[in-house]
Amino acid sequence: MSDVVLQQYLAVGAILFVIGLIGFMTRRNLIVLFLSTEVMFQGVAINFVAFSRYYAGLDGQVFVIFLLVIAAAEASLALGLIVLLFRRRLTLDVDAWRELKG
Amino acid sequence: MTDLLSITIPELILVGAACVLFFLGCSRRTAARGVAAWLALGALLSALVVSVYALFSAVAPVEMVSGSLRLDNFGRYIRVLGLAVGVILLLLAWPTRADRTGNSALRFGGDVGEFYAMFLLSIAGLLLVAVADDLIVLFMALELLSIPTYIMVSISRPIAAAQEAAVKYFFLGALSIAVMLLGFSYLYGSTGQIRFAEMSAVLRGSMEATGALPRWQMFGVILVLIGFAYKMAAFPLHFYAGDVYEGAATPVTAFLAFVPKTAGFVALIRLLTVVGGDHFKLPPQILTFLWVLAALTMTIGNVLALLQNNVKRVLAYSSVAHSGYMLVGIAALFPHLQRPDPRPLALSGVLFYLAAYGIMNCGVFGVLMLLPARDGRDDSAETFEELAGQGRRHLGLGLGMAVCCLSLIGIPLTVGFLGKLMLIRPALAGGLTWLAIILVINAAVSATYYLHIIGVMFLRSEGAVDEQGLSGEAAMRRPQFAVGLGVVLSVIGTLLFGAVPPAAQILTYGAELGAEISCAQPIAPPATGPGRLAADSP
Repeated sequence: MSDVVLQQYLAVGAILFVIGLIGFMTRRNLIVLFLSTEVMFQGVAINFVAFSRYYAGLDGQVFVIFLLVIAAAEASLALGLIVLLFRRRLTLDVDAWRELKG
Repeated sequence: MTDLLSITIPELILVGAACVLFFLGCSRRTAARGVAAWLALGALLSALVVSVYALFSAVAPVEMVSGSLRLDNFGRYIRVLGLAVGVILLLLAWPTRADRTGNSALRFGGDVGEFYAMFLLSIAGLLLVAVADDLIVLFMALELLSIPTYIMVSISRPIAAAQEAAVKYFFLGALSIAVMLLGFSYLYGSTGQIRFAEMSAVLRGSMEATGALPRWQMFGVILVLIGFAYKMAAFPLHFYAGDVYEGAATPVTAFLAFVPKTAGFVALIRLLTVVGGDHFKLPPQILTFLWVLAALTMTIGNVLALLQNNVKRVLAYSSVAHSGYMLVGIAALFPHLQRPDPRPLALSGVLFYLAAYGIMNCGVFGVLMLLPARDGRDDSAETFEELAGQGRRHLGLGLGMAVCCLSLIGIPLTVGFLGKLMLIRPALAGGLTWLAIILVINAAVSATYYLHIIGVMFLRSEGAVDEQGLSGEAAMRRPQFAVGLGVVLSVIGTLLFGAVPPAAQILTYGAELGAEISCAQPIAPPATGPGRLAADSP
């Protein structure tokens, strides 16, 4: 993999990460917030796979496999927490939750 | 060189016990719930015994044949620290209700097995952070530490605030992990190595060649530092502390104030060893960054703590301030020209303060748990109004709170004073005079709200305690020996390690042992050649 191709992959990774970050800052729906964090994770995963290919090693790809496992664990946890909240207020809007100020 | 089993005995004990606890959690019997806490205590104590033995009989660092785990004295010290404070934290979370569904502050209902399993898994994560020797294990250990804490916050009590706190903690945690991972990916990309030994060789090589880190490596390090700041509850990711600490049940709050914070500092110290090698030869930009981080963290933490009306929120932001104090010690790790090397002093100061903070923190939250709420709800005190006059009614608890608060301020004869002294000395020796001055000013500011807590407990009148309040009081009179034991242990520890020279020397000796951190030598020479990312290409 040449430097130019690597840069293209890194650009995609960075763009995904920034999209996720913007989504996290601006959206108010819990599910969409969670999707935004997943998009950030995938941006990082693209970085790792691209670097791994660039160095012709497997370290980065191994990291991505672990990253996906963690992302799956976090997904199940996030959905569980969100369901608990939804049962109390019947809405997914972040702004409905103001028990704790700040 | 040795194998996985012999390096990770304490972690295996904890994880094994957690697996058994998950099965126990399926049982609906009260007896099974009672057994769960004893099992967790047994696992922590046996892991502690193994770790203490390892700390004081240790010689050389051991590592796994294939890399990825490495146990040096630093890791051994963190193990002892994490497990010892873990025992006190477990006592605070002991199920003292008759049906074993929680205690005065904690109400996890039937999820007792799961709660203690999460508790043990999280501590196992902390221990693994200290022995991680590559990026993958460090990442997995930090997640093993974090994911259980989200669940613990959520199940700690059946009220909306706890669940909201859990969601908040989870989402901001996921954001910080994503930032940290982006930093990891750039560190991996700019060095081509995933193991710390080889990565360190590459990073130090570029430092020696040009005197500074290349742009992408620096970017990676800064991103990782920001990610760790969440775990430490340091600026810029400190703002969650108030809400999450308030929403969680008090024993879980004590847990959050110690375990993730310690893991953040352990990971930070490990990262700085990787970047700068055994002697912390770090680029000046990182020193500036840490300087600013320390100054802002302690100032913002103290200012926010002054503005709160809920005692748990005060303690949350004061915990941010204490992270700032410890960051002063981290900033003093940098060798300064023309001065004796303050590095071992600084590192042992940070390790000492982690232990001191863990002990005082348990004491404060423990006392808070044992004081009843006054509005008739079945919970412990949380606001200043509820604390009013309780120091006179419950004299022992009031005195315990006073000792721990004075120690958190840093009054002599307490462990907090020694801790602050051990942070300020290396800072002055390392030429960080201004940072030391900011620390002292902040400690003085923090006295305002700590003394406010003590003053409210002893001087303010109780106000009208109505029937409801007294019924809450009666419910609180259930004997809670385990929680009381936890409080007594922390108060004794605060005084013993602070006022009795031999005990203080033992803890100092432990911290000095723990300061023997080292980075592994690379097995193979670092990869070079066309594969390596050139310094200036993105």
